[in-house]
Amino acid sequence: MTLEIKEISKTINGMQILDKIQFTIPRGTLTILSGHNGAGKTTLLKILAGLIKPTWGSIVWQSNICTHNNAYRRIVGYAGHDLMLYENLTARENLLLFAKLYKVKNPMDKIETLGKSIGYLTCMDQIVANLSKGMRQKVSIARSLLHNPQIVLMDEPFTGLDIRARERLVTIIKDLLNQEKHLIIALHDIEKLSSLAHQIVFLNRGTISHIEFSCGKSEKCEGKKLAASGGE
Amino acid sequence: MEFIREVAVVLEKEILLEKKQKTVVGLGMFFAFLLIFVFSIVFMDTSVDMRLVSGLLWIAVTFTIILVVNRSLYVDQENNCIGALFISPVSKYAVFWGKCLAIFMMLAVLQFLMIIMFIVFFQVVLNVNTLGKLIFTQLLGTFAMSNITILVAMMISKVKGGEILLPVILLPLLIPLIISLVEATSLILGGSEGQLEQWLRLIIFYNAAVVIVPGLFLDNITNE
Repeated sequence: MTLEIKEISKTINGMQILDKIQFTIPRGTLTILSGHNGAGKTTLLKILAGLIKPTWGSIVWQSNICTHNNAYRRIVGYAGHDLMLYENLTARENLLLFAKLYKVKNPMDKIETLGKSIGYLTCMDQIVANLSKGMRQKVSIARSLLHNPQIVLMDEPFTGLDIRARERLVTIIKDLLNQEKHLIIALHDIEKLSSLAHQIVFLNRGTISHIEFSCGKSEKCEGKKLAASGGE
Repeated sequence: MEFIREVAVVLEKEILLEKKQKTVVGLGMFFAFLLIFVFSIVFMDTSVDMRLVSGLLWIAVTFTIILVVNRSLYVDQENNCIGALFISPVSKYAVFWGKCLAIFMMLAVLQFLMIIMFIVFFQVVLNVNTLGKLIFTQLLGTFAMSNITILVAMMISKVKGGEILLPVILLPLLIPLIISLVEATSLILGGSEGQLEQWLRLIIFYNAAVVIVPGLFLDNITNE
Protein backbone atom coordinates (compact mmCIF):
# COMPACT_ATOMS: atom_id res chain seq x y z
CA MET A 1 0.00 0.00 0.00
CA THR A 2 1.66 3.18 -1.13
CA LEU A 3 0.44 6.71 -1.09
CA GLU A 4 1.41 8.59 -4.23
CA ILE A 5 1.40 12.31 -4.64
CA LYS A 6 1.16 13.01 -8.36
CA GLU A 7 2.04 16.39 -9.82
CA ILE A 8 0.19 18.35 -7.16
CA SER A 9 0.01 22.06 -7.89
CA LYS A 10 -1.82 24.77 -6.02
CA THR A 11 -2.42 28.35 -7.01
CA ILE A 12 -4.02 30.78 -4.57
CA ASN A 13 -4.98 34.27 -5.78
CA GLY A 14 -2.69 33.91 -8.78
CA MET A 15 0.25 32.85 -6.62
CA GLN A 16 1.83 29.48 -7.27
CA ILE A 17 2.08 27.88 -3.83
CA LEU A 18 2.93 24.36 -5.02
CA ASP A 19 4.27 23.36 -8.41
CA LYS A 20 4.09 19.74 -9.62
CA ILE A 21 4.96 18.07 -6.33
CA GLN A 22 5.47 14.37 -6.85
CA PHE A 23 6.72 11.65 -4.53
CA THR A 24 5.67 8.34 -3.03
CA ILE A 25 5.16 7.36 0.59
CA PRO A 26 5.55 3.60 1.12
CA ARG A 27 3.77 1.78 3.93
CA GLY A 28 5.36 1.92 7.38
CA THR A 29 7.59 4.86 6.59
CA LEU A 30 8.08 8.38 7.83
CA THR A 31 8.40 11.21 5.33
CA ILE A 32 9.59 14.54 6.64
CA LEU A 33 8.65 17.70 4.77
CA SER A 34 11.23 20.37 5.28
CA GLY A 35 11.86 23.83 3.92
CA HIS A 36 11.85 27.51 4.74
CA ASN A 37 8.75 29.44 5.77
CA GLY A 38 6.42 29.71 2.79
CA ALA A 39 7.94 26.71 1.05
CA GLY A 40 4.52 25.04 0.82
CA LYS A 41 4.76 22.37 3.54
CA THR A 42 1.52 23.28 5.28
CA THR A 43 -0.37 23.69 2.00
CA LEU A 44 0.76 20.24 0.87
CA LEU A 45 -0.34 18.71 4.18
CA LYS A 46 -3.69 20.48 3.94
CA ILE A 47 -4.19 19.08 0.45
CA LEU A 48 -3.33 15.59 1.70
CA ALA A 49 -5.74 16.05 4.61
CA GLY A 50 -8.55 17.17 2.32
CA LEU A 51 -8.78 20.70 3.69
CA ILE A 52 -7.81 22.20 0.33
CA LYS A 53 -8.39 20.95 -3.19
CA PRO A 54 -5.32 20.97 -5.42
CA THR A 55 -5.47 23.14 -8.54
CA TRP A 56 -3.87 20.30 -10.44
CA GLY A 57 -2.68 16.78 -9.71
CA SER A 58 -3.98 13.94 -7.61
CA ILE A 59 -3.44 11.73 -4.62
CA VAL A 60 -3.31 8.04 -5.41
CA TRP A 61 -4.09 5.56 -2.66
CA GLN A 62 -4.02 1.83 -3.39
CA SER A 63 -3.86 2.56 -7.12
CA ASN A 64 -7.05 4.66 -6.97
CA ILE A 65 -7.23 8.38 -7.46
CA CYS A 66 -8.99 9.64 -4.37
CA THR A 67 -10.50 13.08 -4.51
CA HIS A 68 -10.98 13.18 -0.80
CA ASN A 69 -13.86 10.77 -0.79
CA ASN A 70 -15.31 9.42 2.44
CA ALA A 71 -13.21 6.23 2.33
CA TYR A 72 -10.01 8.30 2.06
CA ARG A 73 -11.04 10.74 4.78
CA ARG A 74 -11.67 7.83 7.13
CA ILE A 75 -8.01 6.69 6.91
CA VAL A 76 -6.40 10.12 7.31
CA GLY A 77 -5.49 11.72 10.63
CA TYR A 78 -4.37 15.34 10.55
CA ALA A 79 -2.82 17.43 13.32
CA GLY A 80 -2.15 20.84 11.82
CA HIS A 81 -1.23 24.31 13.04
CA ASP A 82 -4.87 24.84 13.99
CA LEU A 83 -5.83 22.76 16.98
CA MET A 84 -9.25 21.88 15.56
CA LEU A 85 -10.67 21.71 19.08
CA TYR A 86 -13.70 23.53 20.47
CA GLU A 87 -12.49 25.99 23.09
CA ASN A 88 -15.57 25.72 25.28
CA LEU A 89 -15.72 21.94 25.41
CA THR A 90 -13.53 19.83 27.66
CA ALA A 91 -10.75 17.70 26.18
CA ARG A 92 -12.91 14.61 26.77
CA GLU A 93 -15.99 16.16 25.10
CA ASN A 94 -13.91 17.21 22.10
CA LEU A 95 -12.40 13.77 21.69
CA LEU A 96 -15.77 12.06 22.16
CA LEU A 97 -17.26 14.27 19.46
CA PHE A 98 -14.57 13.31 16.95
CA ALA A 99 -14.80 9.66 18.02
CA LYS A 100 -18.48 9.77 17.11
CA LEU A 101 -17.77 11.46 13.78
CA TYR A 102 -15.28 8.69 12.91
CA LYS A 103 -17.45 5.94 14.44
CA VAL A 104 -14.68 4.83 16.81
CA LYS A 105 -15.56 1.68 18.74
CA ASN A 106 -15.13 1.87 22.53
CA PRO A 107 -14.24 5.59 22.34
CA MET A 108 -13.68 6.02 26.08
CA ASP A 109 -11.10 3.22 26.17
CA LYS A 110 -9.34 4.69 23.15
CA ILE A 111 -9.31 8.18 24.70
CA GLU A 112 -7.90 6.77 27.95
CA THR A 113 -5.23 4.75 26.14
CA LEU A 114 -4.13 7.74 24.07
CA GLY A 115 -4.26 9.89 27.19
CA LYS A 116 -1.77 7.60 28.90
CA SER A 117 0.64 7.46 25.97
CA ILE A 118 0.45 11.16 25.04
CA GLY A 119 0.05 12.40 28.59
CA TYR A 120 -3.09 14.51 28.83
CA LEU A 121 -5.07 12.40 31.31
CA THR A 122 -4.85 15.01 34.05
CA CYS A 123 -6.63 17.63 31.98
CA MET A 124 -9.36 15.49 30.44
CA ASP A 125 -12.19 17.33 32.15
CA GLN A 126 -10.90 20.85 31.73
CA ILE A 127 -12.23 23.05 28.94
CA VAL A 128 -9.71 23.52 26.13
CA ALA A 129 -9.68 27.30 26.61
CA ASN A 130 -8.11 26.76 30.05
CA LEU A 131 -5.37 24.39 28.87
CA SER A 132 -1.76 25.34 28.29
CA LYS A 133 -0.42 25.41 24.74
CA GLY A 134 1.39 22.12 25.22
CA MET A 135 -1.67 20.35 26.62
CA ARG A 136 -3.81 21.65 23.76
CA GLN A 137 -1.25 20.31 21.31
CA LYS A 138 -1.36 16.90 23.02
CA VAL A 139 -5.16 16.77 22.81
CA SER A 140 -4.99 17.86 19.17
CA ILE A 141 -2.55 15.04 18.39
CA ALA A 142 -4.87 12.61 20.20
CA ARG A 143 -7.76 13.86 18.04
CA SER A 144 -5.81 13.06 14.91
CA LEU A 145 -4.94 9.54 16.09
CA LEU A 146 -8.28 8.64 17.66
CA HIS A 147 -9.66 6.70 14.70
CA ASN A 148 -6.44 4.73 14.14
CA PRO A 149 -5.73 6.32 10.74
CA GLN A 150 -3.54 4.61 8.16
CA ILE A 151 -2.15 7.96 6.96
CA VAL A 152 -0.95 10.31 9.69
CA LEU A 153 -0.21 13.94 8.83
CA MET A 154 1.39 16.27 11.36
CA ASP A 155 2.42 19.87 10.97
CA GLU A 156 5.16 20.88 13.43
CA PRO A 157 3.85 18.49 16.09
CA PHE A 158 6.59 19.33 18.61
CA THR A 159 5.49 22.97 18.92
CA GLY A 160 4.69 23.83 22.52
CA LEU A 161 5.66 20.43 23.92
CA ASP A 162 8.06 20.06 26.83
CA ILE A 163 11.04 17.67 26.69
CA ARG A 164 9.12 14.76 28.25
CA ALA A 165 6.18 15.24 25.90
CA ARG A 166 8.56 15.37 22.93
CA GLU A 167 10.07 12.06 23.96
CA ARG A 168 6.58 10.61 24.31
CA LEU A 169 5.67 11.85 20.85
CA VAL A 170 8.79 10.26 19.36
CA THR A 171 7.75 6.97 21.02
CA ILE A 172 4.27 7.31 19.55
CA ILE A 173 5.75 7.95 16.10
CA LYS A 174 7.90 4.81 16.47
CA ASP A 175 4.79 2.85 17.45
CA LEU A 176 2.93 4.18 14.42
CA LEU A 177 5.80 3.11 12.18
CA ASN A 178 5.73 -0.35 13.77
CA GLN A 179 2.03 -0.45 12.94
CA GLU A 180 2.94 0.12 9.28
CA LYS A 181 1.31 3.55 9.03
CA HIS A 182 2.17 6.16 6.45
CA LEU A 183 3.57 9.17 8.30
CA ILE A 184 4.14 12.60 6.81
CA ILE A 185 5.42 15.24 9.17
CA ALA A 186 6.32 18.84 8.37
CA LEU A 187 9.29 19.96 10.46
CA HIS A 188 11.73 22.82 10.54
CA ASP A 189 14.06 21.08 12.91
CA ILE A 190 14.48 17.79 11.04
CA GLU A 191 17.09 16.44 13.47
CA LYS A 192 14.34 15.51 15.91
CA LEU A 193 13.11 12.73 13.67
CA SER A 194 15.71 12.30 10.95
CA SER A 195 16.91 9.01 12.41
CA LEU A 196 13.42 7.57 11.91
CA ALA A 197 12.79 9.10 8.50
CA HIS A 198 12.64 7.10 5.32
CA GLN A 199 12.86 10.22 3.21
CA ILE A 200 13.19 13.92 3.73
CA VAL A 201 11.48 16.03 1.09
CA PHE A 202 12.99 19.49 0.85
CA LEU A 203 10.59 22.07 -0.49
CA ASN A 204 11.63 25.44 -1.82
CA ARG A 205 9.10 27.99 -3.05
CA GLY A 206 6.55 25.35 -3.86
CA THR A 207 8.83 22.90 -5.64
CA ILE A 208 10.84 19.92 -4.45
CA SER A 209 14.45 20.99 -4.35
CA HIS A 210 15.65 17.49 -3.49
CA ILE A 211 14.73 14.32 -1.62
CA GLU A 212 17.13 12.54 0.68
CA PHE A 213 16.55 8.88 1.42
CA SER A 214 17.78 6.97 4.45
CA CYS A 215 19.92 4.11 3.23
CA GLY A 216 19.18 0.68 4.58
CA LYS A 217 15.60 1.59 5.45
CA SER A 218 14.04 1.11 2.12
CA GLU A 219 14.62 -0.46 -1.24
CA LYS A 220 14.00 2.95 -2.67
CA CYS A 221 17.36 4.11 -1.38
CA GLU A 222 19.09 6.00 -4.12
CA GLY A 223 22.49 6.12 -2.51
CA LYS A 224 22.05 9.63 -1.20
CA LYS A 225 23.08 10.33 2.34
CA LEU A 226 20.69 11.40 5.01
CA ALA A 227 22.43 14.65 5.70
CA ALA A 228 20.86 15.61 8.97
CA SER A 229 21.39 12.24 10.64
CA GLY A 230 24.70 11.63 9.06
CA GLY A 231 23.35 8.36 7.64
CA GLU A 232 25.59 5.97 5.87
CA MET B 1 -29.73 6.07 8.08
CA GLU B 2 -26.04 6.95 8.11
CA PHE B 3 -26.88 10.53 7.08
CA ILE B 4 -29.37 10.82 9.94
CA ARG B 5 -26.75 9.51 12.39
CA GLU B 6 -24.25 12.08 11.15
CA VAL B 7 -26.80 14.91 11.39
CA ALA B 8 -27.62 13.74 14.93
CA VAL B 9 -23.93 13.85 15.96
CA VAL B 10 -23.55 17.42 14.66
CA LEU B 11 -26.87 18.41 16.24
CA GLU B 12 -25.73 16.97 19.58
CA LYS B 13 -22.47 18.91 19.31
CA GLU B 14 -24.35 22.17 18.64
CA ILE B 15 -26.66 21.61 21.61
CA LEU B 16 -23.69 20.79 23.87
CA LEU B 17 -21.97 24.00 22.74
CA GLU B 18 -25.15 25.98 23.34
CA LYS B 19 -25.39 24.52 26.84
CA LYS B 20 -21.87 25.73 27.54
CA GLN B 21 -21.91 29.07 25.75
CA LYS B 22 -25.57 30.07 25.89
CA THR B 23 -25.36 31.93 22.58
CA VAL B 24 -29.06 31.73 21.78
CA VAL B 25 -30.45 31.62 25.29
CA GLY B 26 -28.11 34.29 26.62
CA LEU B 27 -26.92 36.54 23.83
CA GLY B 28 -29.86 36.02 21.43
CA MET B 29 -32.56 36.42 24.03
CA PHE B 30 -30.94 39.46 25.60
CA PHE B 31 -30.56 41.11 22.19
CA ALA B 32 -34.17 40.30 21.21
CA PHE B 33 -35.48 41.59 24.50
CA LEU B 34 -33.45 44.78 24.13
CA LEU B 35 -34.75 45.42 20.60
CA ILE B 36 -38.38 44.78 21.52
CA PHE B 37 -38.03 46.92 24.63
CA VAL B 38 -36.56 49.81 22.60
CA PHE B 39 -39.33 49.46 19.99
CA SER B 40 -41.98 49.50 22.69
CA ILE B 41 -40.55 52.70 24.17
CA VAL B 42 -40.31 54.39 20.75
CA PHE B 43 -43.94 53.56 19.96
CA MET B 44 -45.24 53.99 23.50
CA ASP B 45 -47.51 56.97 22.82
CA THR B 46 -48.36 55.99 19.25
CA SER B 47 -51.28 53.88 18.23
CA VAL B 48 -49.64 50.91 16.53
CA ASP B 49 -51.38 48.92 13.85
CA MET B 50 -50.71 45.22 13.25
CA ARG B 51 -48.64 45.90 10.15
CA LEU B 52 -46.18 47.93 12.21
CA VAL B 53 -46.07 45.27 14.94
CA SER B 54 -45.36 42.59 12.31
CA GLY B 55 -42.60 44.72 10.80
CA LEU B 56 -41.00 45.30 14.18
CA LEU B 57 -41.29 41.61 15.06
CA TRP B 58 -39.51 40.50 11.89
CA ILE B 59 -36.83 43.19 12.21
CA ALA B 60 -36.11 41.83 15.68
CA VAL B 61 -36.13 38.23 14.39
CA THR B 62 -33.86 39.01 11.42
CA PHE B 63 -31.19 40.75 13.45
CA THR B 64 -31.35 38.15 16.20
CA ILE B 65 -30.81 35.38 13.63
CA ILE B 66 -27.84 37.23 12.10
CA LEU B 67 -26.31 37.67 15.55
CA VAL B 68 -26.84 34.05 16.59
CA VAL B 69 -25.60 32.55 13.30
CA ASN B 70 -22.55 34.82 13.25
CA ARG B 71 -21.63 33.78 16.76
CA SER B 72 -22.25 30.11 16.08
CA LEU B 73 -20.05 30.11 12.98
CA TYR B 74 -17.34 32.05 14.79
CA VAL B 75 -17.15 29.20 17.32
CA ASP B 76 -16.76 26.69 14.49
CA GLN B 77 -14.04 28.74 12.84
CA GLU B 78 -12.08 29.22 16.02
CA ASN B 79 -9.14 26.78 15.82
CA ASN B 80 -10.53 25.71 12.42
CA CYS B 81 -12.95 23.25 14.02
CA ILE B 82 -15.12 23.49 10.91
CA GLY B 83 -12.11 22.17 8.97
CA ALA B 84 -11.95 19.17 11.30
CA LEU B 85 -15.62 18.48 10.62
CA PHE B 86 -15.13 18.72 6.86
CA ILE B 87 -12.12 16.39 6.75
CA SER B 88 -13.94 13.80 8.83
CA PRO B 89 -15.87 11.11 6.93
CA VAL B 90 -19.10 12.89 7.80
CA SER B 91 -20.95 14.32 4.80
CA LYS B 92 -20.74 18.09 4.37
CA TYR B 93 -24.51 18.16 4.05
CA ALA B 94 -24.80 16.44 7.41
CA VAL B 95 -22.61 19.13 8.97
CA PHE B 96 -24.75 21.83 7.34
CA TRP B 97 -28.09 20.29 8.25
CA GLY B 98 -26.99 19.41 11.76
CA LYS B 99 -26.11 23.04 12.29
CA CYS B 100 -29.29 24.30 10.61
CA LEU B 101 -31.54 22.04 12.66
CA ALA B 102 -29.82 22.93 15.93
CA ILE B 103 -30.05 26.66 15.27
CA PHE B 104 -33.63 26.34 14.06
CA MET B 105 -34.66 24.45 17.18
CA MET B 106 -33.04 26.99 19.46
CA LEU B 107 -34.42 29.93 17.51
CA ALA B 108 -37.91 28.40 17.52
CA VAL B 109 -37.89 28.50 21.32
CA LEU B 110 -36.53 32.05 21.22
CA GLN B 111 -39.24 33.07 18.73
CA PHE B 112 -41.94 31.79 21.05
CA LEU B 113 -40.53 33.97 23.81
CA MET B 114 -40.32 36.92 21.41
CA ILE B 115 -44.00 36.53 20.52
CA ILE B 116 -44.83 36.60 24.23
CA MET B 117 -42.70 39.74 24.62
CA PHE B 118 -44.55 41.41 21.73
CA ILE B 119 -47.92 40.44 23.19
CA VAL B 120 -46.90 41.98 26.51
CA PHE B 121 -45.16 45.12 25.24
CA PHE B 122 -47.56 45.94 22.39
CA GLN B 123 -50.72 44.63 24.06
CA VAL B 124 -51.60 42.38 21.14
CA VAL B 125 -54.76 40.35 21.66
CA LEU B 126 -54.60 36.82 20.25
CA ASN B 127 -56.96 33.87 20.30
CA VAL B 128 -55.79 30.25 20.12
CA ASN B 129 -56.49 29.99 16.37
CA THR B 130 -54.52 33.16 15.58
CA LEU B 131 -51.69 32.07 17.86
CA GLY B 132 -51.45 28.73 16.08
CA LYS B 133 -51.26 30.39 12.65
CA LEU B 134 -48.77 32.91 13.95
CA ILE B 135 -46.49 30.19 15.34
CA PHE B 136 -46.75 28.24 12.07
CA THR B 137 -45.71 31.31 10.06
CA GLN B 138 -42.93 32.08 12.52
CA LEU B 139 -41.54 28.56 12.24
CA LEU B 140 -41.62 28.63 8.44
CA GLY B 141 -39.97 32.05 8.38
CA THR B 142 -37.32 31.11 10.91
CA PHE B 143 -36.43 27.89 9.11
CA ALA B 144 -35.95 29.66 5.77
CA MET B 145 -34.23 32.69 7.25
CA SER B 146 -31.81 30.80 9.50
CA ASN B 147 -30.82 28.37 6.73
CA ILE B 148 -30.14 31.16 4.22
CA THR B 149 -28.15 33.02 6.88
CA ILE B 150 -26.04 29.94 7.67
CA LEU B 151 -25.40 29.26 3.98
CA VAL B 152 -24.38 32.85 3.22
CA ALA B 153 -22.31 33.06 6.40
CA MET B 154 -20.46 29.87 5.39
CA MET B 155 -19.90 31.24 1.88
CA ILE B 156 -18.28 34.42 3.11
CA SER B 157 -16.59 32.91 6.15
CA LYS B 158 -13.22 32.74 4.36
CA VAL B 159 -13.42 36.41 3.38
CA LYS B 160 -11.64 38.81 5.69
CA GLY B 161 -14.25 40.70 7.71
CA GLY B 162 -16.96 38.31 6.52
CA GLU B 163 -19.06 38.86 9.63
CA ILE B 164 -19.39 42.55 8.73
CA LEU B 165 -20.26 41.71 5.14
CA LEU B 166 -22.93 39.23 6.18
CA PRO B 167 -25.86 41.65 6.65
CA VAL B 168 -24.91 43.55 3.48
CA ILE B 169 -25.05 40.40 1.35
CA LEU B 170 -27.79 38.65 3.25
CA LEU B 171 -30.47 41.33 3.59
CA PRO B 172 -31.09 41.83 -0.16
CA LEU B 173 -31.61 38.06 -0.45
CA LEU B 174 -34.04 38.12 2.45
CA ILE B 175 -36.12 41.13 1.34
CA PRO B 176 -38.83 39.14 -0.53
CA LEU B 177 -39.04 36.70 2.37
CA ILE B 178 -39.24 39.46 4.98
CA ILE B 179 -41.97 41.26 2.99
CA SER B 180 -43.97 38.01 2.75
CA LEU B 181 -43.53 37.30 6.45
CA VAL B 182 -44.52 40.83 7.48
CA GLU B 183 -47.59 40.72 5.22
CA ALA B 184 -48.61 37.25 6.39
CA THR B 185 -48.08 38.11 10.06
CA SER B 186 -50.03 41.37 9.81
CA LEU B 187 -52.91 39.55 8.10
CA ILE B 188 -52.93 36.92 10.86
CA LEU B 189 -52.75 39.52 13.64
CA GLY B 190 -55.37 41.71 11.93
CA GLY B 191 -57.74 38.79 11.52
CA SER B 192 -58.27 39.40 7.78
CA GLU B 193 -56.76 36.44 6.02
CA GLY B 194 -57.78 37.23 2.45
CA GLN B 195 -54.38 37.08 0.85
CA LEU B 196 -52.67 35.00 3.52
CA GLU B 197 -52.42 31.92 1.31
CA GLN B 198 -50.63 33.91 -1.38
CA TRP B 199 -47.94 35.13 1.03
CA LEU B 200 -47.62 31.72 2.63
CA ARG B 201 -46.92 30.24 -0.81
CA LEU B 202 -43.95 32.55 -1.25
CA ILE B 203 -42.69 31.65 2.22
CA ILE B 204 -43.03 27.94 1.43
CA PHE B 205 -41.20 28.52 -1.86
CA TYR B 206 -38.30 30.02 0.14
CA ASN B 207 -38.35 26.98 2.42
CA ALA B 208 -38.17 24.65 -0.57
CA ALA B 209 -35.31 26.70 -1.99
CA VAL B 210 -33.26 26.49 1.20
CA VAL B 211 -33.55 22.72 1.09
CA ILE B 212 -32.34 22.50 -2.53
CA VAL B 213 -29.86 25.38 -2.98
CA PRO B 214 -27.25 24.35 -0.34
CA GLY B 215 -26.70 21.14 -2.30
CA LEU B 216 -25.46 23.22 -5.24
CA PHE B 217 -22.96 25.29 -3.27
CA LEU B 218 -21.79 23.34 -0.24
CA ASP B 219 -19.02 21.42 -1.94
CA ASN B 220 -17.32 24.60 -3.11
CA ILE B 221 -17.85 26.87 -0.17
CA THR B 222 -16.34 24.54 2.39
CA ASN B 223 -12.85 24.41 0.92
CA GLU B 224 -10.17 26.80 2.12
